[in-house]
Amino acid sequence: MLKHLFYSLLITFLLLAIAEFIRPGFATNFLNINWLFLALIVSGILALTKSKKNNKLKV
Amino acid sequence: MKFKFLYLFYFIPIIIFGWLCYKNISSVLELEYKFNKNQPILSQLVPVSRVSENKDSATINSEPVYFDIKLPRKYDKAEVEINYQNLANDIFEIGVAQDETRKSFNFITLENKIFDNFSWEKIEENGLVLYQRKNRYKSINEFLINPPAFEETLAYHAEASPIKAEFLAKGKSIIDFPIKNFIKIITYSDNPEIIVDAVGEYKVNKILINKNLFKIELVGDESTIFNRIEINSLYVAILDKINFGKLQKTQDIYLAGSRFLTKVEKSYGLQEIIIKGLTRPVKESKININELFMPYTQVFANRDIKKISVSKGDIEIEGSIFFLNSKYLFYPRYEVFYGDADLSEVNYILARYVTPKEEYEVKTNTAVFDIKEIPTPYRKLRFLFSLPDSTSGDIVQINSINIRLIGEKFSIKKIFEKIYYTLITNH
Repeated sequence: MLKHLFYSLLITFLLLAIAEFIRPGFATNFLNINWLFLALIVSGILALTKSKKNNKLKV
Repeated sequence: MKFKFLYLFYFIPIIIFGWLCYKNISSVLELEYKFNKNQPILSQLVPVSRVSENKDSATINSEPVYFDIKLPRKYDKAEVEINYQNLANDIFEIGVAQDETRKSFNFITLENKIFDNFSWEKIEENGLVLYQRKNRYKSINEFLINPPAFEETLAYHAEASPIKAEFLAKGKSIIDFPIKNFIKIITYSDNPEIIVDAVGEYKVNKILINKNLFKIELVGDESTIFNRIEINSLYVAILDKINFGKLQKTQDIYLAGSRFLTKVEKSYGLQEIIIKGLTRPVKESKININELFMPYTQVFANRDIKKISVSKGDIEIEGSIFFLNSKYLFYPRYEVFYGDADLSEVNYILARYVTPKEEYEVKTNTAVFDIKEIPTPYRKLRFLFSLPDSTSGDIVQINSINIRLIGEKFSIKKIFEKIYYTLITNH
């Protein structure tokens, strides 16, 4: 589940970054991208630790 | 096939992107200023040294104070609703920047205590108010058709052009002294023609203000000098400002209005300016300009015509209306009302003003600005709070600022039209 959340947030972040690059203010005028970035990092770390745990259990 | 609920996560980018698209193209954008918080689309009230903010309100200690809005798209109209209390000043205004340098603002009055305390007769029509000492006019239209004399009338954020038929007399006017950078001329003619002899680049803007009344702006850059300007009308006035180049001989110019301001930026321009009244008893005064960049202001008790003698040039003078000679006078507009204006000889004030709504000493007023043609550098729209002639201390407490921006509705057809015309004009 965390993996899918991480992927979806990553897609959102990249999409908004491209939109922001093409048209400055497109996202940052209405949204604090820092919170999105924080959620992305947290979900990434959690997804990574969970997948490591799963790998250990399999071994 | 079993649906995996985990795939719902992939709707997050679609929903966020869709919501942002809607926000960016929506024809109406509503914003609320949040005190003591950083908002990406709205800047703080600045300079911060002039404002003290808590979580519910902001108190202005010194003016002017401004804030910017980052515009996601082009809008035509801005409605700014201000809720405030404890106004210590007579006049409270909000303005929107009119040019790229954000030095010129179009102001709308939120409160004018001087007008509110008037015991004069008052006529209100479509946001315009005519205050008259004696009940001479029955409507504002009657006032515009048969206007009173320049000397006894003031205008406040309202345009009115007193016009008479004899102004169409044939002839020409020549400005044969050098003027730097730009000049704003107003002339009364059925077909104004202008011949300009200038050094440097410039453009001419001809704007029809009223029937046969034209405003001609000659806009140059820092190096432009207009050496000679010829206009096919006897009735020519120069508005607001004259930036003289170096003069060969003393130049006389005639001022209508009660305020005169002058400034010198180069040492050659340090000189003595002589001001002489034309009506009896003749009064003469001198302004000795001996400091650079220092504004010298003279406020006169009346609005009669005065002769200003400039000896050396390289000087900037400011006033309401200037004339080339005292023979062909006409008043294309009235002098502007200031908070400290002497009203003893004034009988009429035409103002654009709506009294604020009041509830338990808290007042609310809405300023509506036309922002369609306003340049917005870096896509930022600047608003400025002005409290003229205020002293420092708590001048006003602002409880809320609500902004509503209204633009054209998004249409794919218009986008294609725009692309089509861009391609055509490029080729």
